[in-house]
Amino acid sequence: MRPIEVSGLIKRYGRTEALRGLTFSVREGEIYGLLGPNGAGKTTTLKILVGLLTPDAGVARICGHDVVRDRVRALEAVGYVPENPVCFQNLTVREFLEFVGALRRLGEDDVHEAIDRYLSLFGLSEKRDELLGNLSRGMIQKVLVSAAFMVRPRVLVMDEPMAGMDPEAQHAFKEEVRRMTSQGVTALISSHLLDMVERFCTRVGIINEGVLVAEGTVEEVKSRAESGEEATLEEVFLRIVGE
Amino acid sequence: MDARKSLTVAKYLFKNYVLNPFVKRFKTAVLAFLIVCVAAGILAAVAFSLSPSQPEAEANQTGEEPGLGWSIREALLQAGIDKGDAISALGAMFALSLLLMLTVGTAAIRVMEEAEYELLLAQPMELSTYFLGREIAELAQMSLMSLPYFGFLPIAYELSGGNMTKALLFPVTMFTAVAFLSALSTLVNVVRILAEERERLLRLGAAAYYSVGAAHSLLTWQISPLLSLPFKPLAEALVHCVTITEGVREVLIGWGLSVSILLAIEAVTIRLADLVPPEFVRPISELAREARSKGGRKEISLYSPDPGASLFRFAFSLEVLSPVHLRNLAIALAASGVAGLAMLRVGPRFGLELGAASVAVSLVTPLVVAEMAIFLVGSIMARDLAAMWVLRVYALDLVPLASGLLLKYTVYLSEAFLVLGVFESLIVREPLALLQPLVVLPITVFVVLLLLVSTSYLASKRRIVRRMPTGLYMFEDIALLVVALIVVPAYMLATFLFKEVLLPRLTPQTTALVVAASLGLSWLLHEASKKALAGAIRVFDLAS
Repeated sequence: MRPIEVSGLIKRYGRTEALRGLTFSVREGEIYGLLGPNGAGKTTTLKILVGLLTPDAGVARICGHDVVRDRVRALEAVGYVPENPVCFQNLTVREFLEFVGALRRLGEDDVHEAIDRYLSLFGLSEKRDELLGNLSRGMIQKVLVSAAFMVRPRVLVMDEPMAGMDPEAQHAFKEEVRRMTSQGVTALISSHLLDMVERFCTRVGIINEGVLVAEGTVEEVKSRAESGEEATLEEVFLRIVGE
Repeated sequence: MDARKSLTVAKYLFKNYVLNPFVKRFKTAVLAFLIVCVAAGILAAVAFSLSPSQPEAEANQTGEEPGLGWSIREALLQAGIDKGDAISALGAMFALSLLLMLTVGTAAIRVMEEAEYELLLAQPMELSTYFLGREIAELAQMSLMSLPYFGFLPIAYELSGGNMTKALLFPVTMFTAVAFLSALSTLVNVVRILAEERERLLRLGAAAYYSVGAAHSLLTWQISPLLSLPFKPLAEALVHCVTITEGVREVLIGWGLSVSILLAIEAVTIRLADLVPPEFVRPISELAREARSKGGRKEISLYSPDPGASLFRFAFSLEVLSPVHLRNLAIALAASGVAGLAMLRVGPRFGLELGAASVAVSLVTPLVVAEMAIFLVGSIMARDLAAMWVLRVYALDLVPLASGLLLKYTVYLSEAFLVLGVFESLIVREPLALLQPLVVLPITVFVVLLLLVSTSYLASKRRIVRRMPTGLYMFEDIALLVVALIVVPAYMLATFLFKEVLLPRLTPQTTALVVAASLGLSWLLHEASKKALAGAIRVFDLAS
C-alpha cells in the first residue's frame, strides 16, 4: 500500500474530459512533483485526492482509504494547500488555525503550540490577530501552508504551495517539507516552478491532456526524453509536452 | 455524522459571517442599537398596556379616534381581502417561491466564500456534518437578522386588538417563515442535485402541478388549495398573529406545526447530504461568473481610437446592448403586460378592487426599485469595479467610465419603473402612467450617483473586492439599508407627486413640457454626476 494511489481516474466537465484514465502512485517519504501545462488536469487530480471532486471513474486512495467511499478516514491523513489563496475573510489568522485544529480534534495545547511554531517559522507571529482578509496573497499562502503542516499529516497535497511566497518563506517551506518527509510524510506538489521542482522533488510525473506521459526521478525523465544530462527539466518538459 | 464537528463548523462560520465583520467591528454601535431596541420595546409595551386598542364602534362611543390597526383592517376589507384570503394568498406566495426554487437557477448549495468549499470540505468530515453546522450557523444568523421584526410589534399589537402575546409571537413567526423558506431552498437544491439527469423531469413535474393549481384557481375563481394548502400552517400562524378572533392557542398550533415541518425538512436535508457530491457546494462568485459566461454578448468591439469611447462601450454598451439584456427586458415587459391584462379581466372576479391594486402598485414600486438598487450594488462590485486597477492603470480619464456606469444603472432602474408602469397603466387604463420613468428620471440619476459613490467607497475599504451578486457582508448590507432609507422616501414622494399631482393635470402640452424639463434636468445632473463620480473613484483610491 502506498500513501497516494491513483488508478484509472476519469473526470469530465460537460463534454471536456479533464482526466482520461490517470494512474500513478507516490511512495512513503517521497516529494513527488506533478507537472503539466495549463489545463492538463493537475488541479483536478489534487482536488479528487482531497475529496473536493468526485471522479467519474477510477479510484483515488490515501493511505489505503478510498477518498470517495471512506472520505473521513482518507482525509484525516491529509494536509492540503489549495491552488488559490482562498480564506475566510473575517477570521483572524489564529482563529482560522484554531478552526482547522478543532476539526482535526487536536488538543488545545497542541494547537497553540503548532500555531506558535508555524507562525514563527513563516514570520507571521505579529499577524496572529489580523483578519485574513487584510493579509497579502503571500501571507495568506503562508497561513494555508501552516494549516496543512499543523494537522500532523501523513500526506501533504499542495497545489502551487509557494506562489506569492517571499524567498525566506520558500526556504523555510522547503526545509520543513524535507524534515517532514524524512519522518515518513509523503508530499505531492503541483507546480509550474520547474527549477524548484528539479532541485526539490525526489520524483516527478508529467501529465498532459489528462494522462501521465512521463514519470520517474528527474534524471530518469531526462534520459527517457533523450534530452541528455545537460538538459534542464524545463527543456525536458517542453519536449515531452510538445510531442 | 459528527455533531461536535458540526458545532465547530457552525461556531466559526458564524464568527466569519456575522460576529467578526459586524458585531466585533461595530461593538459600540451594535450595543447602542440593542439598547435602543430593548428600550423602545419596553416603552412600546408600557404605552400599549396603558392604552389598549379598541374597536371602531367602541371608539365612536367614547368619541376617540379608531387606532391604526382598525384603519388598516378597514382598508383591507374595502379592498375585498379578509383573513381567509390573506391566508390563501400568503400560502400561494410561499408555494410560488417553492416553484421558483424548483425551476430557476443552477442546482447548487450556495456558499458565500470560496474557502467554505476549498478549505472546509477538504477537512475530514462527512457532508452531513458540514450541512448540520452550516444550517445551525444560518439559523443563528437569521435570528440576529430577525431582530428588526420586533419593529412590527406596535402594528401587530394594534391589528391583533391589543393582544401583546400574539404581537410578540409575530416576529417569532416571521423568523420561522424566513428559516422555513431558507431550509426549504437548501432541501430543494439537494433534491435537484440528486435528481441529476432527471432534474428536468422534476422541473416539468413541478410546472405541471402548479399549472393544474393555476387552472383550478381560474375555474373556481379562488386560490386553489393545491397552491395554498402545503404552506397553510405557516400562513395561518402569520395571519393569526394579527387577527382578533383567533387566540394565542391557534397561533401556537400553526407555529408549532411550522416548526415541526421545518425540523423535518432539516432532518431530511442532513440525511440526504452525504449523497451530495462536494463539488455541488459552490461559491456564489463562481456561479455568478458561470451565469455571466452563459449570457451571450453582442459582438461589440471595445476598440476605438478614442479611449473615452472605449471606456464608455465597456461600461455601458457591452451589457445594456447585449442580446440577453434586451431579451430579458422584452420578457419582463411582456409578462407585466400579460399580468396587467389578466388582473383587468380576472381580478374583479376574485373580488379584488383594481383601484386598491393600483394603490398597492404605487406603494410597491418604490420598494421594488429600492430593493433592486441594493441588489445592483452587488452587480456593480462584481462587474464594474472588480478589475478597477486595470482602468486606473490604463485609463487616463475616468469620466467616460463614470458616465457609462451612471447611464447603465439609470437605464436599469428606469426599466424597472417601466415594467411596473406597464402593469399599472393597464389596470387603471391610463397610458400616461407609462411616463413615470421619464418624469422621475432626475431622481433616478441622483439615486444612481448615490449608489455608485457609496459602493465605490465600500469597495475601496476592502482589499479584495467581493465578486458576487449578493456578496456583501452584514455591515455593508446595513450601510446600503441607509441608502435605501433615502431612496425609498425619494421614490415614494416622486410617485405620489406624479400620480396625485401631475397625472390628473396632464394635457399634451404639459406632458411635453414636463418630459422635456425632466430630460433636461436629468442631462444636467448626469453631466455633473459623472465628474463627481470619477473624482470620487480617485479620491477613494479605488484600485481593485
